Amino acid sequence: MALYEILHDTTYRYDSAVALSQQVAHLRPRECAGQRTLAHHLEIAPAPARRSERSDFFGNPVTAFALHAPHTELVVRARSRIRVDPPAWPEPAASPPWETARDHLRDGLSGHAPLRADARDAGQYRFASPFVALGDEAAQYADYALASFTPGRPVLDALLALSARIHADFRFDPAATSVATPVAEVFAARRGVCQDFSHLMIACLRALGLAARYVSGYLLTEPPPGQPRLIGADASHAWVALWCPGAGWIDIDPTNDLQPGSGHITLAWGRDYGDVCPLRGVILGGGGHGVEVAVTVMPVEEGPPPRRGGRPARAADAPD
Amino acid sequence: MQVQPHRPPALLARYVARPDRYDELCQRIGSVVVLRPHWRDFFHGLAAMPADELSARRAALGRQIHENGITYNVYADPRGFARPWELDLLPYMLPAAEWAQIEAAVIQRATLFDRILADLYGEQTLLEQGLVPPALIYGHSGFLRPLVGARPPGGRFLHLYAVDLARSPDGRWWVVADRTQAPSGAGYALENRSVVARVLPELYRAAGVEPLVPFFEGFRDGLVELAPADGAAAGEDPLIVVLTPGPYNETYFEHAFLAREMGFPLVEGQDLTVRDDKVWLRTLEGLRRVHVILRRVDDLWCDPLELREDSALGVAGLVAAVRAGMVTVANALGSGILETGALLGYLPRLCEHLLGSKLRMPSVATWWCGEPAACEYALKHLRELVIKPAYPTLGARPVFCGDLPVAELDALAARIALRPFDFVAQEMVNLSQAPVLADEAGGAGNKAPARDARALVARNIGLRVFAAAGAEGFRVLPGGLVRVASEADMRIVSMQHGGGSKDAWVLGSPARPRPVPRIVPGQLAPFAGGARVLGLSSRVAENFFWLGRYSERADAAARLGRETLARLGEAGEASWLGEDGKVTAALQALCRQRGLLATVAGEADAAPTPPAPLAQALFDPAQPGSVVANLRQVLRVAALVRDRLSPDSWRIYNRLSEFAAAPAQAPRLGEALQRLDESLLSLVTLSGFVIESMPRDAGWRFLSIGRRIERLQFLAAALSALLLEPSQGGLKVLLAITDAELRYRSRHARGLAPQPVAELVMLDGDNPRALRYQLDSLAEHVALLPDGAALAAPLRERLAALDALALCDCFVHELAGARSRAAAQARHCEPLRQVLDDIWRGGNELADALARRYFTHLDARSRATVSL
Repeated sequence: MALYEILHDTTYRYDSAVALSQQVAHLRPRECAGQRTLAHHLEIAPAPARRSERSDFFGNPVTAFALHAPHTELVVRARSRIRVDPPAWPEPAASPPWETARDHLRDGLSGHAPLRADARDAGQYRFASPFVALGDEAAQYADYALASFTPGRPVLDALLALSARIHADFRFDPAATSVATPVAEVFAARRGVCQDFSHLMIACLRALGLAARYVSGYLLTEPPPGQPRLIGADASHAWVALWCPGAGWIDIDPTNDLQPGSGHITLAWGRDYGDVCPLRGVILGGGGHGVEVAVTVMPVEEGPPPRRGGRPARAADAPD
Repeated sequence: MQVQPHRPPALLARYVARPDRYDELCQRIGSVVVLRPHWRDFFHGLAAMPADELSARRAALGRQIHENGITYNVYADPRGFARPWELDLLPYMLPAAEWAQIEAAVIQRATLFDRILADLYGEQTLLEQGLVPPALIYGHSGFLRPLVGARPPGGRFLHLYAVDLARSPDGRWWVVADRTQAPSGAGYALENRSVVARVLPELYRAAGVEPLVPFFEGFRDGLVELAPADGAAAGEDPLIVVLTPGPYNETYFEHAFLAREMGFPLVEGQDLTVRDDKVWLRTLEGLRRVHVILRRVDDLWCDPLELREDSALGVAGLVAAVRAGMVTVANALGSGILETGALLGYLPRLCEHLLGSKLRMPSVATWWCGEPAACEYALKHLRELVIKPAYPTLGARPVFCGDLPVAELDALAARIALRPFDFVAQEMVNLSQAPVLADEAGGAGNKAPARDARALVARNIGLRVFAAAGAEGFRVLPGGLVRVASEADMRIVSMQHGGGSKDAWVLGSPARPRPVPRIVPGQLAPFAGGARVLGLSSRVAENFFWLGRYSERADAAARLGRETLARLGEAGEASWLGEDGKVTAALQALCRQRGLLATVAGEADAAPTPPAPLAQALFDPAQPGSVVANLRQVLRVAALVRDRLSPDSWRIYNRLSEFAAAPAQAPRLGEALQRLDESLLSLVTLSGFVIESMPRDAGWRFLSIGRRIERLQFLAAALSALLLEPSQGGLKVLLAITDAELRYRSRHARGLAPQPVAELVMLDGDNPRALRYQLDSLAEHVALLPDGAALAAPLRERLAALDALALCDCFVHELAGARSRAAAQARHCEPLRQVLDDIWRGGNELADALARRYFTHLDARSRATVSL
């Protein structure tokens, strides 16, 4: 069990006054298995003319707000107190062959066989989405993934193997990509950040006919030994979850090649980044603008520090 | 097979009724081929027409299309961006009994689709029960998840539906494709009817054709009825707008046409804004609540906040307004989900499940490869099939597998096997064929009839039928849009592929009361909701303002060019000598200042330009102030407010387009002068028409303000150039530019003198081309705008300054010695110079103030932002 205080501050500064601003925020962490929101507060300055809360299609809490008065700066500060009880991930070797997951989805989604309710939900994450294009490029993702998804291999075993390969084959490089970089470019350049690796892994899994979703959240980072925790030094994080018949959704973090444990805090999930972007808005006016995001994940509890990550992914079957 | 009896050779000499297609005109009875009964009257009427008469009708049709400005924008069309609509003179004809069956089938299908949408965005029982494979929905980019659970007012999702039909060789009708997103074509069908009925009035009347107008009135009533319940105050009609992506859309003509016919404002995304989950139209008087949006923007692009964030066409917050039930969008956002061939195979089952009846009209045989058995069949029979993407985002075009080389066919089969969900296989349809009038040599409108002007030829056709929701369910437009393949045997009928169109006549049935034939379908009954919205949108106001400015700028350019050119032409080199030389130089400088002539770096204004380059520059579209460049701007802006222009005024604008073309070769002096005269005549016709027939609404006011500002500034510049150092030649030009020569001569018998000329061109309050008139008129117009009083004050001050000017002191009369006289003149006319400069500045200040207060700021468009 771990307890966190999470600060997520976003500041927009505009060159000239913004006359009208409409924003949709995915900043309130969703409740899910192994995670409870003990407190949450979203502070918006200047005060919005209108603000409302709802759930989106994927069940994530959403705050929508609008500013009607001219302003040159917008500050959105999210404060959340979260308790994480990391789930015990099932034994990979005991999971069904990956083809079982694929076939169950295929038969159910094509109307060929009855579809269980949980598989119907999984079906939402089985197809191309705005940030995960699967046209002719799908074949190369499938080829890449098939090296890990060998015939009959247990699906979670194969998943961990794919994660290890992405971790090994791709370089973390914040300068290489932007929010809008397509997966195909990431695949060709072999570099990117957590968002890119997550999209890439999702593309690989969906190209095989599996259901994979994008998880947006936070990751506890440890300050260098002997140094204090710096406020705002952390960043949002993203990882992937794969649907496995019988076991449900299994999280995997390809950027760090591990299965999320108590150090991963889930904010929201969707088909890709576009569904769960922390703050998405449309402004009228403003000229140029700059945005600053500061994230801090602070363990609250005294006692033994939370483990970073859960079970490390096995390096056993590195690509060959 | 040639048609044998009833064969006036001239008409059917080239007509071939093929046995492998259904022929709409002829049928085979035993061994003979005869006209189908419902064609006979029309055909004999046509045959009775002499050849030159038919040619004349055809020419009239071409003229109507040009004058009504019916266009269809084809991307990358060599003939230009806005291509004239192609319409065949011969209508397509359907007997009443056959039509009744089509009508019933289309109503059933529209009703079915409405119900399917309601389920997919509501309970989703169809997915649960496997009646619709979930993959078809989840994998479709048109499944708009933010709209799931949003129930539109009245539970109506589909308001306007279109279906493409084809007739197989055995005469049966099949559905080829459904249009549930934002179907186009109904407006073109109405326009086609109005043109054909006007060109063939006697045949139209005799046929007792079902009228189209009631359909549109019913559609409008349906929209009114489905406005949100919290909508307009009791007794008031709701505000309904047509949302268009803008003039670059391929069917923009139709958006403007429908808006005008139905009496709805035509708006673009930036004209609307969402506040408190309600949609508002930005107008001159402020925000006006919008209740219903008839959209021609695809739904994914309708809201950058919750749908495609890169859309500049939408309205941020629209989805939230829909979820809140505060606005009706027709068709409902998300309705594009049904535009997939993959669904066709499931419709019979869905129809029985949802409506409890059998599907009346079959769809073309279609296999969605996501079903294992279907996939197997498709792969086995690939060569006979057409392969289409199951999801529109895949963007692939239909593949006619029979055309593919073996290697490509194998590659396609491999792709299908790998991703079966993504593909749909469809049977090929042998389209039916109908007669069209063969091309005349030289094309339509050619005066000399070609030898076979009356020959009919057979072309493949498809019929698009429209249904609209009304209070009592769906109604079908009797007829529709017939699309004609551009060449014999062409498999695709599509406007984007260069096809043409036909009017479709549903012939009156003895069972129904014969409709009163109206030759000119004309306007729908007026709509109170439209009339109430006098509040012009800010964007439209701005467009009218610029329409006024550009037409006046074109007028000024033509006048100035004419004077300058005439001067150079008459006197030649001599025009640069002596006092005349100063006038020529002043005119040339004015031409440069107004962008008629390029400013050459390092070259003094006084360096003479010969007439030929000037004549050329006047018609050079690349020269920003040229007559042609300004006329092009006039036409561009006119297109933007097209829905607000009456058909007659649109015709006049269309005529201007002749002069907006750059001449093929540099015009000689005489030609240039003549062309200027003609351009001016058209412009004057236009402004006369505006004065005479435009309603005195805010649009007219902004147009007038634009014109007056432009004329004010031109006059101020011309007066500064020619009056401050008065000369006989300069005074003459001033009188010509202001159309004041006659008036001067009637008042002053003896030659030109500075002061009386100045009085006439500056202070004459009765001459609409004189300076004072502009200020006066501007002050009056501006004062009548909402909050306009403040804007009028500076104009009135300048008017007072102009009136206070003592003109008699401004000009030096008798002085010896040219040099001292020039110096004295400069001193004397200083007050005049100041007043003119100030008036010129006043024009700019007013334009800026109008933009700040009334216009949509182009630099303040909405933009999307995201954060990590």
